[in-house]
Amino acid sequence: MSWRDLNQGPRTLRSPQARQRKLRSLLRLGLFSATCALLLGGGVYSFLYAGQMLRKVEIPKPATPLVEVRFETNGFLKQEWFDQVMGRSLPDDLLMVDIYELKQRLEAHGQIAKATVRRELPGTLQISVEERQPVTRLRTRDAQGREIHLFVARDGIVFQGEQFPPEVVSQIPFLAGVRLRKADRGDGFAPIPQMPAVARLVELTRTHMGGHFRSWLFIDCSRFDGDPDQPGAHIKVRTSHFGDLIFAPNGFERQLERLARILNVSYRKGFHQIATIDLAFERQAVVSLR
Amino acid sequence: MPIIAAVEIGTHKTCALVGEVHGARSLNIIGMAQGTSTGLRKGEIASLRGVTDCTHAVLHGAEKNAGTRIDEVYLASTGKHLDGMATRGSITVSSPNRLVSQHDCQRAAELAKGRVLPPGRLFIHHIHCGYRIDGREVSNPIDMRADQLEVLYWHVHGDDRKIGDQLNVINSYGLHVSDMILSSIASGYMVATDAERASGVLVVDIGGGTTDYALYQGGSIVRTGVIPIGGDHLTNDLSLGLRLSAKNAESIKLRFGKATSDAQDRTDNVLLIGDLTIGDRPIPRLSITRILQCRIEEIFKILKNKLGSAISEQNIPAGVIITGGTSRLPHIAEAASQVLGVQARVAQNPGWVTSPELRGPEFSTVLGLLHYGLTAQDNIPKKQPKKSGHIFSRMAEIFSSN
Repeated sequence: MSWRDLNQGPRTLRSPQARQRKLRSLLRLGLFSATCALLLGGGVYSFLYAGQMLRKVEIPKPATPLVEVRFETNGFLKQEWFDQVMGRSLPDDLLMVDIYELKQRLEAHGQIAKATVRRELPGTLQISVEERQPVTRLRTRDAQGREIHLFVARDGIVFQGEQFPPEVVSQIPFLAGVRLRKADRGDGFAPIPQMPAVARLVELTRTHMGGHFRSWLFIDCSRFDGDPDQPGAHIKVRTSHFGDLIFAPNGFERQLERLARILNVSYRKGFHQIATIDLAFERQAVVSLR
Repeated sequence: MPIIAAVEIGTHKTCALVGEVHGARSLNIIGMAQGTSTGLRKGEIASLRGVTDCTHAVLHGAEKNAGTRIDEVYLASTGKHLDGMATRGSITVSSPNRLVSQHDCQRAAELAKGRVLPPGRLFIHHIHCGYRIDGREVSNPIDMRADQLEVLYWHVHGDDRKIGDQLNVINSYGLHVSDMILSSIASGYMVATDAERASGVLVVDIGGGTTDYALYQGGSIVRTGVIPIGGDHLTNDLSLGLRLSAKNAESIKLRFGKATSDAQDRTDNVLLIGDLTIGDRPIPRLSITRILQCRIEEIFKILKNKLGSAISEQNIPAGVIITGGTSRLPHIAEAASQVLGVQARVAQNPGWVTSPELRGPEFSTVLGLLHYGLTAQDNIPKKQPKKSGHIFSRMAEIFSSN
């Protein structure tokens, strides 16, 4: 057995120094415990206080809650589109909705030409939009080199069409021979200057020669920069039935009349070998056969 | 940084040192306190209250001086109740290729330590003294080829109640005793160099109430012991022989005491007090010297009887190193040399002890305790580690070169 086996546990304090030392130890322990308790108490108090503060800043129930958002359009956009794109950022209170900012955001979307936003108390937000109708379409590549489809409205605005039905899209001819330029502001493109004339041609053709119009494949503006008075300017249309049609950039009604007559004559005479019909000459048309 | 403390409760004085350990083996002494002991007789506790009071006062002073709190101490142990015995553990080497392994050393050590003590006795130290393989002494037998391995141990044991009292004194201050070290072993760490211990040396620590000794051979302690005679007996002899009070006898011893007499002592007289006041009287110096000489010679004769043939030029070529408070008595080394027949010198603490207070031989025990606390005691030999390039601080270098 070794001396290490003897118990060295706490003994009765036999001297004033030992008692003083013990007292100092207890004081130190007490101080440490008090500090811990203070820190713990402080932490608990802070937690509770923060809880109270959180309760105090609870958002009150809105006085005029936004119950319904009603979305109307003359085109193809749907209520779901609005809810997904812009509806999530709307506040719960109808009176808190910034209708001017919302109108601007809607009109910044290329497909929307005009938006009207109004509050209808007690809880409805009424949104009416006028959509741009696509006249032609474009196929180009974005900055990453991916192919994208764009639509061009009558006013020359280029936009990414959404929710257009495929049967509508298939009847829209492609536009060729134009240069897309970046818009001065935003991510979009600058308006295409040839489009007012092109749109007029398309609308007249669709109205007066709807059956013939369905054969139009693309409209080439490579010889037309938007100025109808420029000498030699013309618009070329490639069709699926008669080859190419060449129009002067003004006087479309007369040109379409001539075209109708030429087509009638060619049907009657059985000319099916037409390569080009050049309508750009006044009172005349040059028909070339294959 | 870890704090270690050492306490020596001597018959005359109680001393405590506080050290701050830096790195692995570097130590700064940051606090010290000492006080006159009360309640001790011949190194043993006669009054627990008196010893407790003075020890606690010293511990309190040391903590205050160091400016830190002590949690555990290394305690010096002495007293006539301490005794020792030698044992040996012998085993047959187990491995088929007869190479001694670490496991063999452990088995032999366990066998040597397995000795049962009589009731009321407790082991204090198991001191490893060396190895023998097939009767040949070696310092490290690992990986050597042998049939028989012997490990030698010197065991120090003491009275359980007296050891318990010593622990009680420290524990009642709220401290734990990390280790209890024999005073002579602690002193030996300080005053004997590695070379002296390797060649053979006897360290004798003559304190107030006891004389502790440790005999080193081959770098290991082979014998220790305590003789219940110390400086107090010199004072007491003077008091009785010259009919003086204890206080005057102590004063005479310190001022005029010598361990050997010479021709001039026959004619010289010294004044008891020295200022020719009432009670002052001349005392023949020869009387003082002869009384002290007789007692000193007695101490060394007892030592010679105890150690017998171990004290010889062949066994202890480094001679005898005398330390402890009584070693300050002039010509004590000559007296030792005359009686023991070997060269003797008075110990000096190592040069790194720069404090004048701690330079004296009476502090070698408590300094040795700190040294002991700094270096772990591990008697089982291990494979030699690769020498590292660590740069120890000055203290550690001095410790290691001691």
